[in-house]
Amino acid sequence: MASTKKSPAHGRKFVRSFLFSVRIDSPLARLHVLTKLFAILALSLVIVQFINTEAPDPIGTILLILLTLLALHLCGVLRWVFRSYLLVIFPALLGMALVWVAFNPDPRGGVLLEIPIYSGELDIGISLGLGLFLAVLIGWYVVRKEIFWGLVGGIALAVAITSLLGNPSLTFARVPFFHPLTVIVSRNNLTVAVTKALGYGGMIFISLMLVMTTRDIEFIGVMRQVRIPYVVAFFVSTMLRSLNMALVDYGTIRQAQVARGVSLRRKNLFQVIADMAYMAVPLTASILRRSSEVGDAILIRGFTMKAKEPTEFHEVRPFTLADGVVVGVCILFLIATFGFHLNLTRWMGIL
Amino acid sequence: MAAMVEIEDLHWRYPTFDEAEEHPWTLKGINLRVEKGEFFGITGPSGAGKTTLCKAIMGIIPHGLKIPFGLYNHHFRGRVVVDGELVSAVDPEGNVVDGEARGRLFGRGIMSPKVGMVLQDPETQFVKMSLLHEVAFGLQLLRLPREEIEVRVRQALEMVGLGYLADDAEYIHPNDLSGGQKQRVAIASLLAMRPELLILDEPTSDLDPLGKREVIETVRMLHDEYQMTVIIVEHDPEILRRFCDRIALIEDGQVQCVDEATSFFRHMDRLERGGICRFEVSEIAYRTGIYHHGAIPITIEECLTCFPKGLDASLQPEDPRPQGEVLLEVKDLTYTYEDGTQALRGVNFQLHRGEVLALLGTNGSGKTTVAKILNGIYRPTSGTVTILGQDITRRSVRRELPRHVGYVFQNPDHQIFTRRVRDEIAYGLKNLGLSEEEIAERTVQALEAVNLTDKADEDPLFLGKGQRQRVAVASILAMRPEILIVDEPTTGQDYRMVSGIMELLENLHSQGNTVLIITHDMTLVANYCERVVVLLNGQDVFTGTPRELFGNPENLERTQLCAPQAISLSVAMRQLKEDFPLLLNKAEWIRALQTQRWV
Repeated sequence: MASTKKSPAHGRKFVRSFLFSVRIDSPLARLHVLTKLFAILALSLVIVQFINTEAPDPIGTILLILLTLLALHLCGVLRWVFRSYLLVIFPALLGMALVWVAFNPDPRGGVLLEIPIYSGELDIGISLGLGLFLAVLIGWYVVRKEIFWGLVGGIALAVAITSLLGNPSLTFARVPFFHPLTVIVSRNNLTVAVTKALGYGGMIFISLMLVMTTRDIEFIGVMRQVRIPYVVAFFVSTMLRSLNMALVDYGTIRQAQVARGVSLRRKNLFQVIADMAYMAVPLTASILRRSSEVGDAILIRGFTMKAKEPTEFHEVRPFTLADGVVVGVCILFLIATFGFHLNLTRWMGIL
Repeated sequence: MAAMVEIEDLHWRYPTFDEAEEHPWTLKGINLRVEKGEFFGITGPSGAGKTTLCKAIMGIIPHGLKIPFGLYNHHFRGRVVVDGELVSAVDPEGNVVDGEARGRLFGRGIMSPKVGMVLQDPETQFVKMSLLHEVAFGLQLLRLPREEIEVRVRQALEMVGLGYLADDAEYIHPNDLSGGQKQRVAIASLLAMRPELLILDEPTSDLDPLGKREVIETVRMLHDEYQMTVIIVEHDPEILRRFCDRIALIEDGQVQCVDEATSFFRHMDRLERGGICRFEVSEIAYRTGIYHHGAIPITIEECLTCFPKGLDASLQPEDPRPQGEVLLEVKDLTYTYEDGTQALRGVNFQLHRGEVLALLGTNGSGKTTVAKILNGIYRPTSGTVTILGQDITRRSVRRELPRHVGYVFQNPDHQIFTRRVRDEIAYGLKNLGLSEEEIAERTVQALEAVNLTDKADEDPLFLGKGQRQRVAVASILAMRPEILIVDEPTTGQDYRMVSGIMELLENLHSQGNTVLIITHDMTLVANYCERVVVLLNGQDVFTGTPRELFGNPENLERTQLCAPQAISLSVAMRQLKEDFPLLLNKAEWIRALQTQRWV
């Protein structure tokens, strides 16, 4: 059959990967999967060294996170995806840094702030503040069947009244539990907290780079190169491929939820979580239906559990010069970090 | 002629988790013979067992299923033979365990690559993320040399008219193609394996009229050129008549009849009883007692010889003009997706209160994108959209749109969020912040409107597709939007379900609702829509009445649409008599014929 039409793929900028899509000509999309895996492993090891509690290297970590963000940008990931990840990951990292500071009272390097928050004993009793808080919370729930604003109102009232009148309390018993907690913000633990948060961020970004730039074919190719049985490779790649389909389903289901007015009212955290939970029904139904039909489809093509190693067809990708350069750079990083104990922060005389 | 498929007394029931309670038989003694080189059609209502029968020919049933405790004799009886090779048979007395015969299964099993089967939804049968590997997958499993795979992939793509994609096939995800292209990719991936029997299970249900014709013509060409045997499951009478040699009617797990395609659709009583889609002209003739050589006519050519040519021009009804206020106005609307795909390139139309407007166009023309913009899901890239006098480019207005514009998605399974029909209707109402009393009242009314009151406490996931579609409509109706958008309400449904949905839409219209229907079903448009807007490549290329669209061949060519049979007959009559009334649909024809008996 004659084919004169112009291919829509001409000028096509993106190709779908396991997660979202990747720019066809992006440098990372052209790297071998094993190179990317090696880079993840090597840079993660370097990061682990940089976030070492005894000798943290915040400058090195910042450089690495910039490098991983650049890698993610080079993937050609769609801007909204990039922004969404930044939006989700940075609050999580901030939370992680705060938790580190709260639970690691390390006074080295000079204490900037010290707040005792727990004496190591639990008081069982009642106080004016607690009473007010509970009264507002329960009252609000009874009247409005809602918790969030009850919590906010209860805390606000308790803080206001107790700051004016004090907080008289009646203690029935005192039980030792855990150990005393004091939040100590020192130069040292602040540095470690920030370094760790950024370091883990870097690890997340560089791992995302792998799933965002890898396609099922490359994955099967690399599994065949390392002699993993085809049946295993096929099922793993099909499972990863279904991530992409589940994302598409999620998008449509979320839109259907919006069409049903899910965003019409301001909702508290619990209601937002409940809305997310509602999505499980259509998502599960569509995943089940899809998996059953994919099962039939692969049987029709002649796939069985006893399938012999099929012909290799544009799956196995050769290593290129770019792979060699990336592996070389990663090895240099490893040597500098573990062989020469490179610590950029100290080298620059900042800490 | 030698047989390609021979089925004798085939019984099958699906296994359950609890073998104490067995499902009823899905197939109840099927006897069927398909000749080599035949183009064989199968039709019947949903749930009749058509897909199950195809899977039995393919060998997926029972070989691809896990039968609990190996109790084959509880699930399978009879035998299936393809091209002289036994696919499946069960010796009911075999495999005795603890004194109990469980049945021994014989046969080759799954018949790939001799038999290929294209499933209804092409998207769910894709197993690879590139077009190249999708088509090559079966060939790789056959362990053909790389060079031969290369040649066969290219050939298969050429055979289905997608040769122009071959060079970039490695970078194209099959799911990113249009509906017609997807289905042709599904066919190409089987053709590459060079099957002798190709089974197509409702391959065109998601396609626009042009895509539908392209796919079937491709299959017919393959059948003619390569002497391939084809079995097609289909509801569309035009496709069955035009392409098939014989047609079988399957109902309640049994073959009710097998007939030549030229005569199958003339037996109106039998078709009506079975809930099978009939030709519009046949129904007109049947209701008005017109016969072609003593039989019910099924084609326009036959009708031209037996239908009256002297109908008065005054019998053509006046098209209603939009009366109500403008609820919605779209001007120069464009929309570009994040990946740079320009879905809309300038769309303009208006929707008036109380009218039923159809938004038509080929797959990928931008209809669903428009609907999602109107519902506030997407923000227009440029242009203006005014709904109830408010510009929806403002975020605050868009956020409130679900109160005013209800959107019923194409796939009801994407919008069922709860496990009880009553709760499902109430879900959107709770989001509106209504009181418990009002929610209860509106739920009852919405269930009554869609005739599902008796299903109020059932799990929507276990209802039939038609009923799930009704639940979806009811959930939106209960929110009482000023504008109701229904996306492809009849796709993949059998005649009875389509009739039910048409009746529902008619009721909604008569109650004064404003409805925007997105559809490929031109009969639905001719029967129920007052005006039509057609999109092509993201632009509106036609706005007018269905009569203006379908009655003018130039408009049809420009919009790449096909006219339903009833108005096509009027147009053909006009070729013979210039002032013949342009009768749009079945109802207009019957009314005209009953009003004025012909000279």
